[in-house]
Amino acid sequence: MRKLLYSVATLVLFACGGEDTKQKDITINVDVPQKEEERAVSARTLKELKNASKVVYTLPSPVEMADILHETKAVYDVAILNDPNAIDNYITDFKRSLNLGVYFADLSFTSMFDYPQEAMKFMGAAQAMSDELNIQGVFTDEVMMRLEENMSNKDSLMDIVASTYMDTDLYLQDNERPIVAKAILAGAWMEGLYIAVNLKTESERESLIWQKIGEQKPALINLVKMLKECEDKQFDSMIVELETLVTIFDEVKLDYKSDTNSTDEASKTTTLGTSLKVDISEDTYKKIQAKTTQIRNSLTE
Amino acid sequence: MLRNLIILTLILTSLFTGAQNCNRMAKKSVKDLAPFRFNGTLHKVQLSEGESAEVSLVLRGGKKYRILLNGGRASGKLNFKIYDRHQALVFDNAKHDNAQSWDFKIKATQEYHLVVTYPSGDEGYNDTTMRGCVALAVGFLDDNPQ
Repeated sequence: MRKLLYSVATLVLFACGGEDTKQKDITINVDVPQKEEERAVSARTLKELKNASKVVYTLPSPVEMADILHETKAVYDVAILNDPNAIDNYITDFKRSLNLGVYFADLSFTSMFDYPQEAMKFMGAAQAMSDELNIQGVFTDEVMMRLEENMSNKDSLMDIVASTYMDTDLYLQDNERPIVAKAILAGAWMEGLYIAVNLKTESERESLIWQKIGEQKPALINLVKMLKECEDKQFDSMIVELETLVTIFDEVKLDYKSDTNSTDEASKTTTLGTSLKVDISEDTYKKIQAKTTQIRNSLTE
Repeated sequence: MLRNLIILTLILTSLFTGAQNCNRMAKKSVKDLAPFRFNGTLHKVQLSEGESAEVSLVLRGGKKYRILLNGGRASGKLNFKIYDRHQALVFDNAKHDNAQSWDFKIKATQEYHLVVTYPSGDEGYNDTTMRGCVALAVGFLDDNPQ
């Protein structure tokens, strides 16, 4: 009984995980000549890392994904987003959870890219889906009123989106619903990647978008680990598809070059100096685009 | 039977209150991130004394991040270390007066591992579960805004 009660207090964020499985970068070319002292530090810190009793894999939130792509100055067609009136198409809680994540991403992108009318529709869709999932106290009348009042203020809009996303996650943690929580994260990230591979820009800026997509490789690997640790059959087919996507992403070469880190004590700021070159071909990009679109459409159909 | 029910009710009430307090504390961390933009993901975990948790974070190049920890009554005593993808230590707040908030300028997108450790000798703020709430909030800004 005591164990059960303790587990009530243990947060769901960690409920699907807990095992200490560290990521190994396979295709990364590294030019880091390690000195003896550095090797000793690495060995010591590795021991410390293994002592961490709880491990959390994170993904860029919809707000971050929207920010990543907004800085490319590309545009997208609102028509590629999910239909905000498709709520009734989703019967199971699993499908509803995935698509609540999709709607969060669509809400973030429409807010970030200045489509306030569409943002309102997606907020309504997220609210309705949240009701279907019996997630309480997030999309309150007060929140919806704040949204309407701040429709023309992008920063406020993004703050409201981030806040509702956080409150949804906290609610699910407190109510021990880890599968719903993880499905929302997965749906949101997949929709973000799907929008990314369908962005339109001038041809000379295309490579910038490809690089941003290539940089998502560690996040994709984290997503697969996170879903595997849930050990829930509902994720099985999605994991198979995502592993195929990982295989395609393996063609992306992330070439890191280490540089010195520096700290400014006065401003309490540390600069982490590693640089990165992303090597991604047009052929690889097209394969990522096709597979991502296929996976995303299987979530929203 | 009645006694057991009363004990169970008291424990559940305490846990519920504990969760609410933990949420309140965690949400305060988000407010403290200003002027950085909250990324939408708030991490909170309950740790016992001396226990560690690891969070893997992908930080993006060209951004400035604020990482902020709040440990309730353990605030000021939480240790956090950041390791790069080779698991080499790149930051340890023990070398900076145990600062519970620190900013990072990121040159290139990379995965980092943040390990937070609850201080030994602190029973944790929830006396029923003997575990302490720790919140981790991350905010970001453009490093060189136009």
